[in-house]
Amino acid sequence: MKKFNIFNIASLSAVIVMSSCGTDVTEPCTVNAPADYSFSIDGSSTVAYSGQTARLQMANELGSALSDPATTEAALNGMFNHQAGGMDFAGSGLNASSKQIRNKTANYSTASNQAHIHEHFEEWFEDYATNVAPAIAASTPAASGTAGMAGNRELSAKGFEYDQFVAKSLIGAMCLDQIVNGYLSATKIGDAVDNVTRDPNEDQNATAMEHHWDEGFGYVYGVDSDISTPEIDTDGLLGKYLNKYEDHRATVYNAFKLGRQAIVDNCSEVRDEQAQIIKETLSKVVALRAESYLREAAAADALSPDYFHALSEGYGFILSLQFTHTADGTPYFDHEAVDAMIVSLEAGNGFWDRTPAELITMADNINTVTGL
Amino acid sequence: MKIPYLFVFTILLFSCNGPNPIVDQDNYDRTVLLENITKNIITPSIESFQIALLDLNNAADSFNSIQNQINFSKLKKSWEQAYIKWQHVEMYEIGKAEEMDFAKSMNTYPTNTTIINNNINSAQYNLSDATWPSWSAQGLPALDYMLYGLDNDSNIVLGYYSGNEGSKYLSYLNALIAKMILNTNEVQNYWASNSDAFINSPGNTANSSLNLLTNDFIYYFEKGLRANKIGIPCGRWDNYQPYEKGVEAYYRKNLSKRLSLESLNACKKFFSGVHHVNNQSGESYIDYLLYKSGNNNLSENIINQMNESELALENLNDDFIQQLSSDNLPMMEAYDELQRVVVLLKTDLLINLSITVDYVDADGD
Repeated sequence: MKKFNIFNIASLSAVIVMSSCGTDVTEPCTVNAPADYSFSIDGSSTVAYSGQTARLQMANELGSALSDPATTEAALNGMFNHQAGGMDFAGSGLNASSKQIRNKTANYSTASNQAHIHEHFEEWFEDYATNVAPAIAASTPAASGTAGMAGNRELSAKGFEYDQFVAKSLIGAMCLDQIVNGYLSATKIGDAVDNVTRDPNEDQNATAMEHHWDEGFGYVYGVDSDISTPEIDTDGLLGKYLNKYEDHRATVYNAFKLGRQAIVDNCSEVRDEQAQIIKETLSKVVALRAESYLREAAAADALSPDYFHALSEGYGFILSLQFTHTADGTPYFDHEAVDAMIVSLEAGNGFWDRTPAELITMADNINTVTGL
Repeated sequence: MKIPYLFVFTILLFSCNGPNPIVDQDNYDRTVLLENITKNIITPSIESFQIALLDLNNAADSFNSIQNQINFSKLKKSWEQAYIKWQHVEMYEIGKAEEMDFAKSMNTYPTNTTIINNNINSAQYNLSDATWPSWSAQGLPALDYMLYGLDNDSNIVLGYYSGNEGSKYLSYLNALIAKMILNTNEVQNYWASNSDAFINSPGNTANSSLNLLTNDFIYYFEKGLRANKIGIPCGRWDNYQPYEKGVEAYYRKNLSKRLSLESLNACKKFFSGVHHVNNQSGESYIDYLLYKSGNNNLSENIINQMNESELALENLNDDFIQQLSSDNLPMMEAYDELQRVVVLLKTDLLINLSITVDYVDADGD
């Protein structure tokens, strides 16, 4: 706690000494963060992230469809792979939107890794629609090797709760990946990006760099009803879990605020430092959840609805680990390491066959790597 | 959004009113309260459940001899009585009951009809297995299925027991009842031999009797009553999609409201120190709170909110399944009323008594 307090004070007014090439010492730039995340030109806000809001809403509907017995495979793929005008969603404006979840899922992974992750999603959709949905409609009780209901949880034959798989995987594969490998990377906010040109008809009069930063912000706060505070009330993805950690929640919000002001003030060092803080802190949240859900599943009553639910959440957070970003820019676990964990969770009859000891070992291994 | 405010509130209360959250330094004699609850509420509640199970067993004996409609009706009636009595027992998951997962083996629902049918047909099962699949095929909910759920027509249900395969069904029915009696006897024995030690535990540490009891009570109110009976059926954690199978006594159909009200009544009596048998009042949380704060404000708030909850439950259809399919809103309202009690218990009551919560939320997110 103490560490974060000091850090928050420092981030209110950060002073960084610029000494990029040794001989040429420039004056340090100072950035004063605004009270909240509002930025405007001539009295009009320049902050916009409607595309992120749309994708978070789409993901929310996709999750709901994965506990609905009437869902079809085509409907699920339609939501994942939405094309403007397709009648895939109920939410207002989503059908007309050109935004899509699939093309922002593992978008910065290698082509083969991305294809592998997309395959997972498509397999889950198929299994859900083909096997789980009819079992729910028939009120079949779940058993090892049989899809059905365990308490109020909808399980596949291997004990997978697919709405949890999808939502928790998208926390990493979409939200976190888009932020750490996309919008807050050098390609989108580096010094080469245009931070001068403003056009009232485009991106709400923000510069390209400002807009990219706001789009990153949108993957955390895109459905929050009040972005003037660090609390996040309505999100179901990354924001929901960030909100559970008061210290990290304040850290991320303050860093978004200060970094955005740094862009306005053309202070690259503060901007980059805040971007790094955001990437690392959000990554910690994902890693903490992956570990804690494994422990929660291990502690739950054997083969109880709570056990399957916790482990399904854990599975998605584990998949998300490959999109984390640590101090040196590498993830806590890469695609192969994550795959190995997933394969061992799926082995045999899946979650029906896991033991608390296995899950605790996996949680311990995650903790050893993260040191959190 | 609410959590940080509660947190701030907590700090204020600690710093202004002074009770140390770790070591309780009051001179209140907790053993008087513990004695009333143990001797006049817990023990008699378990004993009357035990008697109800013996009635059930007698009815099953008659039914084993002659499978006719009269004996079947008596059997069902005694099951119903036992289920009502159980509502006064489930919250005491302490000592032997905790060790043997008493509540889970007695009242895990929805029951798993696939496992039950497999058990009936294979006659191979282990009712002592400490896993969810085993719990979900035994206890009061499994009997609910055996007595009401094998078919919609009660004559056809009776036919399962009197038909060619009848001995298989009777055998599983008897095994379920025997296991319930065995479990309950163990719990009753535990209290018979440990009551005095349990009462004579005046401290305020995580393992002191009043700490365990208070935590169990609040956990039961939150999970056993609020979540299981109302929250899960109304889909509180599933976008309010009604989940009919999650209703207690699903196959019996019109018992669910009765059981919820009985459960709430048990909680109210526990909090107010009202004896199980004769409705006399003894030393209670109300007295302890008066000692601590010098007034009855919190006790009145808690009782009033429990009464509001009762009104909200009374407002529901006798059969929650009917309620869910006609209009889920009253169920959601009942949930909200119960949740208001949970907040009072989990924050205000615990702070006032300087007791630390020993479990995490079970909201499943």
